[in-house]
Amino acid sequence: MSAAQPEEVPVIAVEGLSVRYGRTPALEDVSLSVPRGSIYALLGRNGAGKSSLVRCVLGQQKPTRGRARLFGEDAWSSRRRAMTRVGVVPEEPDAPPEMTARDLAAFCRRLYPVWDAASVDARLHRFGVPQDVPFARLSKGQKGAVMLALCLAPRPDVLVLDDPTLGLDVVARRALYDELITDLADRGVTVLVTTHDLSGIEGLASRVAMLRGSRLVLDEEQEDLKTRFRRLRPSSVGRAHEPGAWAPFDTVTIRHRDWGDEAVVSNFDDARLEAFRATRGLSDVEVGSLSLEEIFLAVVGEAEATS
Amino acid sequence: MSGLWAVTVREIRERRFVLLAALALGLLPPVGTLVPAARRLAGGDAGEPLALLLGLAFPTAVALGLGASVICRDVAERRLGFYFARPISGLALWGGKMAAVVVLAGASGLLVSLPLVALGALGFTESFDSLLPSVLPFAAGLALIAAAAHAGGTMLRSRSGLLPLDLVLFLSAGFAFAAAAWRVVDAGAPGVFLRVGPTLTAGLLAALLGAGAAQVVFGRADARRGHLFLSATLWASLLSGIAGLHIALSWALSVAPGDVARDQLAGFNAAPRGDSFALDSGRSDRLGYRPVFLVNAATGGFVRLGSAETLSRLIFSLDGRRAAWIRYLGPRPPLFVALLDGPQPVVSAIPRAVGPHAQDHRWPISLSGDGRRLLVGRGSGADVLETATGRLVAETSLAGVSQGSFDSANRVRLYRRLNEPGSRGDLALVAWNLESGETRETGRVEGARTVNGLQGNRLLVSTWNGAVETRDADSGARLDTLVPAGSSHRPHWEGRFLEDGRVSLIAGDETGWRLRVFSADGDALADVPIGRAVSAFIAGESRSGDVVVGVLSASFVTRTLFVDVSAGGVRAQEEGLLPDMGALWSASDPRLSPAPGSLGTRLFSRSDGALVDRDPTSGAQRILVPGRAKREE
Repeated sequence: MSAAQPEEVPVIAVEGLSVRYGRTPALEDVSLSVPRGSIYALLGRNGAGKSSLVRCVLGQQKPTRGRARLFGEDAWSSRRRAMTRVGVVPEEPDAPPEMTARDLAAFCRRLYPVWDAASVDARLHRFGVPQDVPFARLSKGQKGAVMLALCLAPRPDVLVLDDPTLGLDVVARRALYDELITDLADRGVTVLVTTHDLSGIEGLASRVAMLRGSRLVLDEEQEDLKTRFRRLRPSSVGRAHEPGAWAPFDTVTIRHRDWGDEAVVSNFDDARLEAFRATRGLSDVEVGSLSLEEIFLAVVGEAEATS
Repeated sequence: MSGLWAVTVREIRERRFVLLAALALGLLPPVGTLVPAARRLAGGDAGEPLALLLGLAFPTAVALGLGASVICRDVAERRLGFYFARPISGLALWGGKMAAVVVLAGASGLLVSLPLVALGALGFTESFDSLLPSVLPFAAGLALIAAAAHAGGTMLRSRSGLLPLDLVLFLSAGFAFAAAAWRVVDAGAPGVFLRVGPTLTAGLLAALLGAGAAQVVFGRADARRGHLFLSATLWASLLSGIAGLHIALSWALSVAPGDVARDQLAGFNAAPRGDSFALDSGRSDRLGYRPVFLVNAATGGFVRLGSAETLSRLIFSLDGRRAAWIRYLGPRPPLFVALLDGPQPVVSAIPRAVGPHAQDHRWPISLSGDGRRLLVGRGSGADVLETATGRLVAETSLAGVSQGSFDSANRVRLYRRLNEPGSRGDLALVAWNLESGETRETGRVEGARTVNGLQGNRLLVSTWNGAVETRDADSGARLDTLVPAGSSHRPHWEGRFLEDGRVSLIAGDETGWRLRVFSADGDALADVPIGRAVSAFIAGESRSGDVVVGVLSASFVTRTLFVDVSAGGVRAQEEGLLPDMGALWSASDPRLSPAPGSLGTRLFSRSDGALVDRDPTSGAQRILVPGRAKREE
């Protein structure tokens, strides 16, 4: 038999990827894969290496070590071919500033085998973007809308959104996510998105990865993530910061509150909860769910602050 | 291809204001000619110079400006990612952007000139076709400017640590190229640069375009990585290209007499005595370098003097122990002297340059009998220098000196062309005492004559208007008319003295040529038919009384006749040989003619291209420079 079926090949795969700028590491030994049809949220603080990873995935930057694959092929060497199937919305809208939305659409349509001109017009109309105003004179939200319209017109199999909501107001941000939900989910388009808008992406992302200090520290389904990350509020723990005080849980953060102690644990399950209760003789442990933002803060923000 | 085309079209559309600006600027000259003040300011013809200036300056400025910004700005402002996020190859992106710059710059040059072309002010509306061959070099020039501006812009905008290294490599490449240029200048071979110039320009263009392409293809949106690839490609290409240039120059400039092809007849010139001769290589397959060699025929030792077009006539001293020449280099051309005593000529510069007036082949140079003093003519007089030290021995400000020779180390004979009204270009004979500095006109020869030979400082033979005459060397008084003006047998080449004072000349008409020999008193001594020819000339005496005559027939077959003037007949004849014509091109010093049996009478160019030394007694030939057949082996 020949090579693996397309369905089996991750749309985006990163293997041992490292990027350095001079002596400064931007990414160190990062490996991940984005399954077909998923909405994959890549999260991290500023400077964590998200944009470097995206540039490597798009074949715009050659990694120092390791490699990125698109559709199973090396992203650097097969960039041009792969880009016929990839739509990109960059962190900073980078279209030539003198071109209007109409010029940009006319330019781009020459480059793709498929071009849905009607969808461009419809999206620009929906977002209220004037088509004859130079790109530089559009608002931040309008620029984002133009970039999104351009990247969706060739009906891409993969969408790479590098912090697409940066600088957008609430309405524009909501509109962008609506586009993602309504237009893309049904078509099975794979989306790699980096963002700081965790509440916005929470309802969309099927899988989440987190970068901390240039390393990948988390990469799993959002559902699993939310299952294992929980907030525990026992009636009393006593010496909450002592080693083993929260066993058998792995604590990510521990806080003292007026009403008692609180911990975020990263390996919650019912069996451990029963064991914890039994060991401590606790009658009542309040178990709370965490939002993606809280998990991010627990994993990346507070951990970095602690470290 | 769609990517290349799309990018090109996009760039042109975005910068179409350049074309409008060109058209608007182009209207200035014709409008200017309508404004009286502007017309007066430019001497009544303001339009054409302004149009020409704009036609060159505007596209150059466009190529520079767009070249330095069309990609560099995108990289610096992080906008190149827009293209790389689309299915466009790096090569298409680079090619499309550069093509747009060249098209915009070229079209702006055309548009800026268009109004005046339309009005016919530039004068080439009717010969527009003649401009077509210039289109490619013009476009290549614009591409060169644009690519160079791009490289410079990339280096400056990247603000990376490579910039100081770029500067060092730029200076290194500049020095290495200057060193190559100096080698060419020093070898007197400016023609080599003309020959390799197009290749060098194409190489530079390829290096710049290749470097830009490497930057975009391998650096993509990464400014520093792009800079690294641009610099690595550019400097590696340029430095290896310059290294190649040095290697090619070493090969070209090391050409030896045996490497040259001598298709020209006047290719060699022997000293009146001794073993030395100058060889004008005629043609060389080594980048067109065509040096003059000074060769010792006995030992084969030689030196290169520079290409023939950069040198004055080479003059030997009568004793054959020194040679001198001027190299036309810069505003004050240097003088050189060669010592010919040893197995190999030794060249040294005379530590005194001559002024710009010496850059004219009409002015004579002449060596004293022992070669220690050098006469250098100039438009407004003449100088005498010591060849060893360059010390100025004497100078005179007599205008119109056209020939000269040393009577002795301290006495020079000058021949001065008079341009007085009604003089018909008479020749004044002037004695110049170098010790006192006094010049004295001793006589005149009427008409624009040249002096072709001196005999014992007593007689001269002159030729003018078909007449050959002997005259008193001091007073210029005519002694005898050897061939009258208007003779049916008009002389070809000038009359020359033989060693014993007889005068020989070639004369003839369409029916045939003849060697004629006269006594010093004008008595006809011999009249030897030599047949029909395109050219025939006397190359001295192989021994006293045995005149060597070179003959070139209409079918370019060469032969040499050895004429016994006492017996009045051809003693021997050799097919395929042609003797030295050197004496004919040493006309600035009328004393210079080869002594009987000297190398100048023994050197022959053979029909296979070889240069041979022919023994006058046995006729045996010794090859000095191999012919074509030998080289092909």
